[in-house]
Amino acid sequence: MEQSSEGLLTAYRKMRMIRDFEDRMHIEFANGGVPGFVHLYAGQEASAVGVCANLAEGDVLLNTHRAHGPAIARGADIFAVAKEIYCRDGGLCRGRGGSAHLHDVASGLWGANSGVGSGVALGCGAALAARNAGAGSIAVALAGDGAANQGVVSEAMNMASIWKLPLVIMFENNGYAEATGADYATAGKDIYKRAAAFDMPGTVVDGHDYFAVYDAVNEAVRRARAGEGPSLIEAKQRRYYGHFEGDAQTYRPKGEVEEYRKNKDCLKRFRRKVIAENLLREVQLDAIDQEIRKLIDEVYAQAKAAPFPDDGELMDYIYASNS
Amino acid sequence: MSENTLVGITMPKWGMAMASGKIVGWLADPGAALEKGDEILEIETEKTVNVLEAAAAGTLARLVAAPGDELPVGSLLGVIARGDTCEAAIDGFIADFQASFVPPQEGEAADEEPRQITIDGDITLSWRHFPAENPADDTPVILIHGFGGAQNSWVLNIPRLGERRDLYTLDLPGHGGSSKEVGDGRLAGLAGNLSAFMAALSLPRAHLVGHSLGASLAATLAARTPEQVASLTLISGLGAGTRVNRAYVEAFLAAERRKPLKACMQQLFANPALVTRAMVEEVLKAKRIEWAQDALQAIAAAAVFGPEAASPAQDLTQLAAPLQIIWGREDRIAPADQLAGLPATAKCSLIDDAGHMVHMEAATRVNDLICDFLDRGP
Amino acid sequence: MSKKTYRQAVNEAILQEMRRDSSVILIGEDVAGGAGGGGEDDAWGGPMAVTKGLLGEFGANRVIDTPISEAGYMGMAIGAAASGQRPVADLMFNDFVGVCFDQVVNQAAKYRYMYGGQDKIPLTIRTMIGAGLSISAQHSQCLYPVFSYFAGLKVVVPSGPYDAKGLLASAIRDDDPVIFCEHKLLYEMVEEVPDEPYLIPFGEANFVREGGDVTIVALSRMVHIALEAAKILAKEGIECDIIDPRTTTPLDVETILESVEETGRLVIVDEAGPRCGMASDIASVVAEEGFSSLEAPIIKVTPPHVPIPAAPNLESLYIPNAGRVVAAARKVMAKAQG
Repeated sequence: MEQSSEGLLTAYRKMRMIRDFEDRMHIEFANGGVPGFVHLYAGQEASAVGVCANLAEGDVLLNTHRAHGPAIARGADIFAVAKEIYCRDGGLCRGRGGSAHLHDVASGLWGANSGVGSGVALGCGAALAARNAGAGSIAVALAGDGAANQGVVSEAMNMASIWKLPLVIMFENNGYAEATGADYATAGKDIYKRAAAFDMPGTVVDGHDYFAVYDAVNEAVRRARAGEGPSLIEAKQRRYYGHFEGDAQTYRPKGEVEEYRKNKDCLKRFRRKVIAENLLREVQLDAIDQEIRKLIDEVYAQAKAAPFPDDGELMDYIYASNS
Repeated sequence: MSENTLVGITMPKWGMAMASGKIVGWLADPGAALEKGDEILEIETEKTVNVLEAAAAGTLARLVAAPGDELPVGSLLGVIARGDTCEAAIDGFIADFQASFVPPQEGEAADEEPRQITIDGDITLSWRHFPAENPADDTPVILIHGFGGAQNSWVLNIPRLGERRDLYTLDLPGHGGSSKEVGDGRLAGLAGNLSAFMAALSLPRAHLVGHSLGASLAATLAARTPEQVASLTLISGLGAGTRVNRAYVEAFLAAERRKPLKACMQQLFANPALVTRAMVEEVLKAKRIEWAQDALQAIAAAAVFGPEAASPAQDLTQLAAPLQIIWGREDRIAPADQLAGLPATAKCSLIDDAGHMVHMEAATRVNDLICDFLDRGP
Repeated sequence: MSKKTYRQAVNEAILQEMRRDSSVILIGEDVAGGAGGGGEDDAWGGPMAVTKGLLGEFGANRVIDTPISEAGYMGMAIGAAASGQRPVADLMFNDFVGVCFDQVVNQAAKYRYMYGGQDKIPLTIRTMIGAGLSISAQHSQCLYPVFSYFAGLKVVVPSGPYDAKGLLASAIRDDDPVIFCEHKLLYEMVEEVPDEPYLIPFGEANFVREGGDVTIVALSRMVHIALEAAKILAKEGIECDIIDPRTTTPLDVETILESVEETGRLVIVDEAGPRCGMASDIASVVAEEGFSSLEAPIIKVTPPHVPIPAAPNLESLYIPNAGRVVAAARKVMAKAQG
């Protein structure tokens, strides 16, 4: 599938932003000062960025707790993302959600919430509303390999299919649901094959290959916008860090992360391909790398300096109406 | 009345639905000398708490009912003696009364359902007819309630007024069970609706008794189509330009819950204790119906505070129909001092210890005034 | 104004709101009934025929029969609400909330707050509560105290047709998630109900009866039990205030305290259980804020702490009755004078 150089530059830029942001978060978290838990997305950039390259204004992306990457990919203000992770005023959710609940209605990003896989059910709602509105908008729900085995996800896939809702269900199978291997927990091992049971197309792609992800999502989004119903995509990938920061990851085979960083890394592969095929020039990519390095410094400096939300606002934003 | 007579004090019927009342307390002591109209007994019903006034002058000879007693309408509550009487005679009177007393059957006193009629194309009015058994003449009486009220405003007046005259009551547009379309909300429009109501019921001419906005409406009708009006009783209202307490109306419109509404409604009476929870609840329910608020706002803006007549009191002198005006001295909504503009010849009764809702607060007195006025004829 | 049943009042509220606002949609199991069955569409209108007739007028895009997927369609309803629809989702029996508990209490309730006020969730969940039909432990509970626990939800418990219509219209127009609890045994109750739409605000208790000697706070069907008890007590010269909170969140504490200030004696009758229920909640608030008014300990009349039995004789031991309320009122009067 042809993509414009502008599109390719944007894709690289976003992937670089996510990578550097997460690598930095890994260090900052270890130094203390980041509240709560964080679930880092480093390694999986091509997945979220490949999805978001196909989304328009009005579309909704439903996030998971591994929220930083998709939030940046969808175009949420990275400064507000950082502040929210630090639970500061000026964060996307005014410091009330934190790392796992990045939510920005303005950029079409819906935050993760508790139940694993619940985003797929919420996505049915966004898709239903989009169908009733008739403007051609769609919803894409991200879900992990763990979510594939959560009951609500089957219910949501079933409903999306019987009503031909404009929904794309994107399983980011990163090999582990917390500390449990995906293959172990998933009957049939291949999540994408479950699509057939729900009468929708299912595809599997290499989640570290930006171009493969882009193409698969492109077709699914086309289907949805055309009113042909939902699709399922399984993007196989690996995260470079633990389920959460502090996870010793002893459940992973030794050397796995190094192997992926060396031979399967999405940024390296993207760079190789675009240069080899004369789609972009090396100097453009280097410039982006430099720019992002500075940006990330600035983002973290601002986030750490931002004030916490005011005590007096504790009870604000519970209810929308005073009835 | 002959020299030595005994008069029974009986449980009144306040409103069509009243089957019984509960004695709260006696307000006069046994042996007290009473004038007609003196307050003697406080009675509580499902809908209201009110004071019974002495129907005759005399001595309060015997108390029959005690505080806490719940008794059916018509029951003997006490005995008033005129002239000399002895205990034995009183005992005999009571015995005779009780022997022949038959309380009204349950269900006989059930609330008659209001009827609906459509006028002026698409306005539905809720109305009631109280036919008299032996009407004094062919001319009926129409009772017209005030702003924010409904036809049940007349509950303490209907039994007495309906004794010898055909009565009609209605909910004005925007109020009660009538439709909420009020057009521009001006008095001329509402008066037109009333005129159409009369025509629809084939009532070419009627005695109009109006309260507050209803009075202003009646006066407006009398000026526009005098042939429809046999006489005019204006209670707490004089017509377009009646001076009304703006803060009260605004508070009434703004009140969305019980407490603020109760506080507001208490201004309607000289005795704020007369505002019961049931009364507030009824008004609240009416206000909550969709578009009722809009209707009331339109009427307030146009009819209550709209273009003013220069001197409504003087304008009344232009009317052909016989006219009487009744007002409560403690009226905080339409202050009584505006009556000063009335010509000396106007029949005007200013009632002490009564506020804007004078027809409820001093019902007996007001009923007397209206009946006397109607009886004496044009 | 006309006589309507509770069922008709609820139906009319939904009908009028759906006519007024095209973003109101109805979602749930058998809300029409008959979808894809090959027979009649709109075969049921809900298990108690409350939503019959709506499919015909509004079509299948707005009246949606769902599979048996509470978790799925509650999540969907929340997502639709966040996207600008105004869903009325049917949780057939409130006992089933366990299946979609996460959606209701972790998503719907917390969505707005957790995301810093960016959204509103104008979702109404209609659900059936209450015992008395011998349908046993999993179809007879009153779980409104559980919903009231969660900040972010509003909880409505109407005791009659007039309240039901006005409160449901308010619930649908409300921009927050509202759980609307309809007692199964009240569907046939008849009352004068205006034909026009009208709104009753939340957080306003209804003063059902005035008396002055004892305050009885009662919810849902128990309001009628309390009225029965009040008639009996009146013959003994004990006059009861009966207060129906109508909504447990927001709760009109002020009206309850006002009444207790006058009577000094409080009896709370609630069909929800004795532990962590509304009776306990209200009692604790009054004990703390109205202590100086109390002349006797507060008495709670609730079921025993037991799953609801199917056998009719056992079930009638479970549900509070007028006799127990009378006994409680006598006891609290005796203590005051004693």
